[in-house]
Amino acid sequence: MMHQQTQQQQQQTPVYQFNRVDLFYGTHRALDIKALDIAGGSITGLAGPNGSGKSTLLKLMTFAEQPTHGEILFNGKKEQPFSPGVRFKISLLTQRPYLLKRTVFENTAYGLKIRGTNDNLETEVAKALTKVGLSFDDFAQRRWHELSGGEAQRVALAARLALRPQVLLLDEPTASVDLESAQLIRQAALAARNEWGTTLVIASHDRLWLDEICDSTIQLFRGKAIKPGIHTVLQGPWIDQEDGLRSFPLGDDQYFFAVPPAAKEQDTVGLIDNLQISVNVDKDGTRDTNGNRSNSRFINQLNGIVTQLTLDPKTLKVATTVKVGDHRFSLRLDGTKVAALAIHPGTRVTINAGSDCLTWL
Amino acid sequence: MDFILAGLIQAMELLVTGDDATWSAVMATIKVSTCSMLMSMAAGLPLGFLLGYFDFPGKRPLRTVLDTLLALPTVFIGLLVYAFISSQGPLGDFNLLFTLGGIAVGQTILAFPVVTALTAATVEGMDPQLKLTLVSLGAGRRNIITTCLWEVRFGILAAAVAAYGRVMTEVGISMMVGGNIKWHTRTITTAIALETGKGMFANGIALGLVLITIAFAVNLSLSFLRKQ
Repeated sequence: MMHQQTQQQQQQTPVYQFNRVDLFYGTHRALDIKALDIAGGSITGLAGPNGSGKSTLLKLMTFAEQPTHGEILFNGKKEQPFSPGVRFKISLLTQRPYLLKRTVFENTAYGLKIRGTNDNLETEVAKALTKVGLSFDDFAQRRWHELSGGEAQRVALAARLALRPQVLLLDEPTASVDLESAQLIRQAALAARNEWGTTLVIASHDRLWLDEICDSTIQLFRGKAIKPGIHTVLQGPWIDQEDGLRSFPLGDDQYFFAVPPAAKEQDTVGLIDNLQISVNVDKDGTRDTNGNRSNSRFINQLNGIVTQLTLDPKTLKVATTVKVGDHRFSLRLDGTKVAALAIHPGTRVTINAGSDCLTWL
Repeated sequence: MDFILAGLIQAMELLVTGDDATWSAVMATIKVSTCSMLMSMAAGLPLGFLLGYFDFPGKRPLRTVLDTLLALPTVFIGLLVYAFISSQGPLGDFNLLFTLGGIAVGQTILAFPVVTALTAATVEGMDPQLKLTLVSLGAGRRNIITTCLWEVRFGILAAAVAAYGRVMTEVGISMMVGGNIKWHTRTITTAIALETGKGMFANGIALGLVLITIAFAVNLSLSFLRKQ
């Protein structure tokens, strides 16, 4: 009961509040977040391609770096690196863990020793190792170089769980580990949230996992948080057409035509929300690469092939990937629609999207 | 060829029987080089860490100067130190000329850039994930510095060994500042130079063997520590 009350209180107060935060590396703006709140005890996903700013955002959340402009409030207070308000409360697990050149025990106990938790050190370390599926007896005295990649990642997570942090930041924690380790890491992270009310922020390319467990997902692109949802990204250069549209070569003699943005830069990025794309089965196998220009609103009709169908267990939608030329379009379809159209990997389909459906970055 | 072989045999006899003059030079070398190593590491380690760990304006030019100092000729250091500690020099009142203390000052100047530059290079080569990991585990600034130093301890030990080798084998400073005074400031290298000049190859070879043995022992210790 007490734990539930604490969790409710945590969820009412944002644990993080970003206010007009940006971060520059030289002249390059790596991150630009206008506003962002993360509720205590929640699970937040960070999605986006490589270089979109996920890791940079996590570093700022760790207070290992400070933003160039703006402020980040943690538990309602403006904090500094190494301040008592953030030490031992926020912990980041990176994709490629660094283990100290010591034993597994010393690695797991490092934070506890610094915090001054010297009583029951062995018990605490054993508990943390058990949470990530490692036996204390078998692993405690192993040295850092005697571990596989998955075991090293689990030891790194155990070292963080031992501190019972208020916030656990996971930067692609399962990207380079085996399936068993990935499953154990996911379970341990979720257990931390469920047992201690730890706030989780997870950066991952595994969109299905994020959709399954996260209360909300922030989509990042080029350092900016963009409209939530599943997007197909068309990154320029675009080619200006005589009729005022601009086209994007998809390969295989197909083009995506779009109404250009106000700014005329040709390397702008267009995002297509999956909700703006419809799909039809290409029954006769004919191709119409010119689209339907009879309407005042131009509809792109693109021929592609279904490459992947995966059920999202949280929304019960079917995540569908359609390859058009050299590019992949992401859709979320109702199960009934997939069944009615008898879509399966390998099915030839036509996808339809309006020329004005893009969000320009 | 025979005289070299004979010199080698005589050298072994000198070492085994404990020839006073030979062992006096050995002890002077160990004392002065250890003293200069301690002083250069006390100053060079923290500075090397700062240079390797932090980015600040002017860091690159400073590294260039430091790297240039690695090639500083020992006779030039000997000349500078001599000028400073001779009775007419600004530090003449300390009466360091022709003493082991004077040699130690010169050798400290010789070893300092080696320790600093190699420590900076080792720290610069640290995995960038290390600091982030330590921050993630709640480490404060002091914890980060001590843990980083511990993580790169082998690189720093290698720097110390390289510097130790440089000070033990130098001749210029010991000769110019120490004066090569028997029983007093004669070191292994100055003794070898003198004995060779006199045609006393046995003594020279004996001292050379001691130098090689010390270098071997230091490297063996480092290798043992690495395994630990």
